[in-house]
Amino acid sequence: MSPPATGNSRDVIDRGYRMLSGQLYRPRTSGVEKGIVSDNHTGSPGGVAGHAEQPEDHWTTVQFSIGLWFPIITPKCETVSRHGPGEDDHMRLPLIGLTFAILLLPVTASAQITINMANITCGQYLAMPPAQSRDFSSWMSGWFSYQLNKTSIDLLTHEKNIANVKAWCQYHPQETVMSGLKNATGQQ
Amino acid sequence: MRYSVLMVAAVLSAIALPSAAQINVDMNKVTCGDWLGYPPESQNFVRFWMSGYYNAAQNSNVLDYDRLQRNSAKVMAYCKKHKSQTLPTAIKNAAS
Repeated sequence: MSPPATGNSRDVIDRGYRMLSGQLYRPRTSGVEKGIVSDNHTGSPGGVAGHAEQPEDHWTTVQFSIGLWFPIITPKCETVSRHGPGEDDHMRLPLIGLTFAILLLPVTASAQITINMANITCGQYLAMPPAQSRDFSSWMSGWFSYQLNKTSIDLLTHEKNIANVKAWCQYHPQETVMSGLKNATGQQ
Repeated sequence: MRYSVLMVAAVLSAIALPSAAQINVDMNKVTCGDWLGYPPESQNFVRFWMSGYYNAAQNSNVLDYDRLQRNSAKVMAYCKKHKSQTLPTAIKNAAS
């Protein structure tokens, strides 16, 4: 589930790219972690799909600054060197593009740090992993407690309410959870 | 012997967390010490509940996760030094 981000999506992508490039531009020799890619001999930005000197295996691991590890399949230099120089370049460009596309997806998702809770639909709520679902439910509980001018919470009622909302959501996957709760609590 | 066991059980259940047995929790009365003593899951519940509450107070629907993390860290540090203060007071004094 990728909750919608607020703000300019380009900013989010740019930010993700900066986070990413901060690691990728780091020369391998200065990296403590093994496998940080440097692309000294291709000179391309990021250089994740370039032919930096690789160990014998086909796998290169890129560590993001956000702490995720991603294995990226890159061809061995020997394999590519069977082709002529021109063909080599032709192969490299799509690989770079593909690798960036793959890389940017998780980074962009993790860069979504502001979430408009009013836009979360029932379908999204039901698809959340348990921990995320609990956090969302707790946040909503706090939000509606303020609307209802309540500062105490009955934990059993809270659990029952969550079960009721989820049951309602099964039949209204396109509705937002907040609008459903507003209707249920008479808050408009 | 039996009474001792019952007393220990009662004390443990009282200090553990706002569990299902302790049905009503007044968020205004939760102290820093209480909150710090909760298990991680209950701490998180209070954290997100407070976030929702204060966002509603500011007429906001947006959860700024980075801000929440920053403020949680500030409040936690503040709470370690002011365990008798209530959590809303700590939030007022430490969060931005």
